[in-house]
Amino acid sequence: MGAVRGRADRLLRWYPATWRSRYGEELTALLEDTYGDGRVPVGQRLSLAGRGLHERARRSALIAGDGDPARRARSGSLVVLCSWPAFVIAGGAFAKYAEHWDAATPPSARWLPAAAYDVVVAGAVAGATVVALGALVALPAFVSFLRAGRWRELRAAVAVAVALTALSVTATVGAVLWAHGQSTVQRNTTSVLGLGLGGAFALCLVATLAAWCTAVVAAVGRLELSGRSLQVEGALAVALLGAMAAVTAGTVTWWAALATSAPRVLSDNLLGSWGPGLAPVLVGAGLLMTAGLSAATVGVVRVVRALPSLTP
Amino acid sequence: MARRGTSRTGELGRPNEPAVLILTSLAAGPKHGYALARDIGEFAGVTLGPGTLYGAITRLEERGLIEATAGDDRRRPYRLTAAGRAALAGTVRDMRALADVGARRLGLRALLTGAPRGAAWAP
Repeated sequence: MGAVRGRADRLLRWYPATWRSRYGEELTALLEDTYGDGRVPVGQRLSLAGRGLHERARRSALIAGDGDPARRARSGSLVVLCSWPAFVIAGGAFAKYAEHWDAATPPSARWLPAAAYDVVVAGAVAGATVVALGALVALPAFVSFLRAGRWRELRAAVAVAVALTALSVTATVGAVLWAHGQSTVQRNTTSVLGLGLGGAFALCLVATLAAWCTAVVAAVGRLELSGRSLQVEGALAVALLGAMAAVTAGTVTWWAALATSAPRVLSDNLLGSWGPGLAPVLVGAGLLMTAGLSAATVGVVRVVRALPSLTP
Repeated sequence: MARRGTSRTGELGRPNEPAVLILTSLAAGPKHGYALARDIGEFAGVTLGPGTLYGAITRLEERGLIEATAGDDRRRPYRLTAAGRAALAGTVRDMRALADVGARRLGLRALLTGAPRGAAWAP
């Protein structure tokens, strides 16, 4: 049974440590009883991986279940918060893509994309403000958490996030210094090296955001938030969804307006084009925003269903 | 569309939900994981994979509907709690009410009167 046990141990790594310490031996015994020395079917291995990840998400307060309304409200707000980085990434890509768009657009065709661009900026500012307010609301509970000596529960997640932030800052400084050492023509010429470095830089930023998101989920899942705080966080989650919707609508309108009235702005863009009005950066940003908006909607539905049952 | 947890078939969900199947199996007495999977396969014709089975066991134990009994740590038997028995009874009553409506609308009188199963399907 040694081989089976080894395989079971590998499969159990998908589950959180606390779950493994309670059910790990039993699940291993079940795998031994069911499959003996034979292989665990691929479908069952995938199922175990999925269940293990689900268990991790559930224990991190991202998944609520059907019970406690406080838990559902908290998990809904967290889902919305975790959707926001998708907009940070997509918004960053959009901002880079849209640089100097007005200079290449005829004045008569500028008003609609200009208005749409302003909506994107306003949505981004509103979203960042809402996230900051949410952090302020949770701050007293976080301070109590630290005073209770529970910092070590978050230390690993925060250490990873800080290390990746340091890497991102170094990469940003490096990119700025590199750009200053180039002529305008060199800076605006697409090269394989430039694209590779840009891709690595983007990956670094995405990893940093994901790490902070993980740390925030780990922290919020451990905080003792009052019913009143959860109600405020829930209202902020609804507001954040509104900001995301504004950013998405503004981006799509800007894109559609330019594709109609000034398609060369899109087709001549240095970041590439797949044809008239079809830019890979905008397609990627649009998909990311749609995914973020969908996830945030799920979170807000969860919050709205839980709020009436919450007691302050 | 019925939502999970508030459906007409009770707080445990649909009749083929792993939670309902596990509680039904434990209603006949304590069982460990492998015995549960085999029993459910026999009475319901449903194969619960190890991940699904232990996902449901985790939820049921957290909700206090089942509890582990003393025994081998690697093959720990579970049994129904009073709350689990009540939850299963509620689900069975809801399922019965639903079956009665279906039988009435199909004119299957024998099912309503509790006649043997073979006779139930004769209108």
